[in-house]
Amino acid sequence: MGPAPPWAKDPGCPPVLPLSAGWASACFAAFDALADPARNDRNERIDRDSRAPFPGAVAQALRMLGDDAFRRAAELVRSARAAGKAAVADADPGLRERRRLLRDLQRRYPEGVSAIRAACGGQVRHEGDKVIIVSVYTHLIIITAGELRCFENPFDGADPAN
Amino acid sequence: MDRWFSPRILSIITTHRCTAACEHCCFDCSPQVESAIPPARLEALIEETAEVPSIRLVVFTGGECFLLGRRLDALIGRCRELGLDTRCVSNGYWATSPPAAAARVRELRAAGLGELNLSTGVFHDRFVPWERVLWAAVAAASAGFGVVVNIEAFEGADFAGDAMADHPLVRPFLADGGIRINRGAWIPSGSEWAGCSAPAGGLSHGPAYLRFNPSTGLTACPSSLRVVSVNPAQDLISCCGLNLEQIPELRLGSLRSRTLREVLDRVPPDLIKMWIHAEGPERVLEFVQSKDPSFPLPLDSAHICHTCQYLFRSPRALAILRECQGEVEARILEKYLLLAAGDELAANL
Repeated sequence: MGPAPPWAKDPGCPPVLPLSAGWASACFAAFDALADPARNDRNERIDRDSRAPFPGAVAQALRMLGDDAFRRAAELVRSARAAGKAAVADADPGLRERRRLLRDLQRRYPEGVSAIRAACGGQVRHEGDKVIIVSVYTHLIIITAGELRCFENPFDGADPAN
Repeated sequence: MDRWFSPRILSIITTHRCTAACEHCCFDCSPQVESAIPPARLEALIEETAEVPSIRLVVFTGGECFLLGRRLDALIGRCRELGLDTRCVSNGYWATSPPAAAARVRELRAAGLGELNLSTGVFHDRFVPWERVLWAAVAAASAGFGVVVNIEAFEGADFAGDAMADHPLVRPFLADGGIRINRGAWIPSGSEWAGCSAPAGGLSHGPAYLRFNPSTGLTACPSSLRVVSVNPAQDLISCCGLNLEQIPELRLGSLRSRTLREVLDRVPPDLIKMWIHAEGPERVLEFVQSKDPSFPLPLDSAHICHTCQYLFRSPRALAILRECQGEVEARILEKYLLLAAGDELAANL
């Protein structure tokens, strides 16, 4: 049995429906990611074998945008690997441009973008006419010309920035 | 830090004292009540808010927050320095004439106030003539504030101020969105309740206000977990609703000896708060009834806070929820996180 949680001595009301331990840690990890997207990628507290909701959230985003997104995504990442290049831009367009792109995406895919944001922590890059939302170790999502592509673990754990 | 929600708004119930003593007031406010957050604590709270980056808006309410006088301007000014947006909720008593309204609004503008919400209706009108609300609204809209006028709504309400919407001074601002007029259900206060059912002889409302009406109600709660409130007792509460002081389960902790951040960082995750945030209390109660068809729904509920209090005051509902929590945990948590992500995105656009 671990140490008492920090709220054990809190005078606030105890939870009416406490989350089970697995869900609680997934929830904390998600909010950590939302609060600091850059940290999400290396957040060791995300247990990929647990019931953490990230893959489900990505799947939900894709369902909103088309059932064959996973298949097309897989094809794209295979060809990108075969060509020896990772489809991730190095250049960050800057905060203003990212916000403009996100606004545009939000208009086109309001629910989808929210789901992607939940899934990936929302690191967004821009490459030519592509908007790339990337979570280095877990997911890569590319949206271009109204099409969304999503990859799970596209780099087999390698950091594409290196 | 183990945080599982990101409050966007801090609502400060500066005092329960009010210049009015409206029937059914949600906090039983009146001129005789003296409970208030000490001024020094108010100042410290603003400083502490800056340590919680998700909070972008501070709402000063009550009671009547304008009873703070010039202290209110100073608090608003400090919020502006810290990059926090501000809103005041008032009954407009201070707008005794158009020039008086304009003068006070100029001061608030100089301090940095962004929005003004004004409350009026049949019960308010007995203490604060609705014309003052009109003058305050017009002065504030002319100064560039976002203005919302909230009018009490219930069956048979005969409110002369309903004419406000057609007033020539107001009409141009309604057209350009400078003034919005809302009609919100006026319901019995939480303390008027006894047990689980609505108080007898209370206010009634038409079908458009009924929360179990599929075409108008059954919505998620806009304030649960998104807004945190501090009351005069310096309790931090995960809601800004009408019955927040009547539902102890929403109390997150005391700010008397700890900072806002310290309290927020120690709040244990609670599925019921997430569920109310994601789907609203009506859906939670419908789930309860799906497990126990004899469970009575409060079909006369005209306000989401009314339904919420019914839920928390029903040991039977809470027992069923505890028993069946596992059936909904995954679905609610995923929905909750998606909404949280959407909030985060919207906050950063």
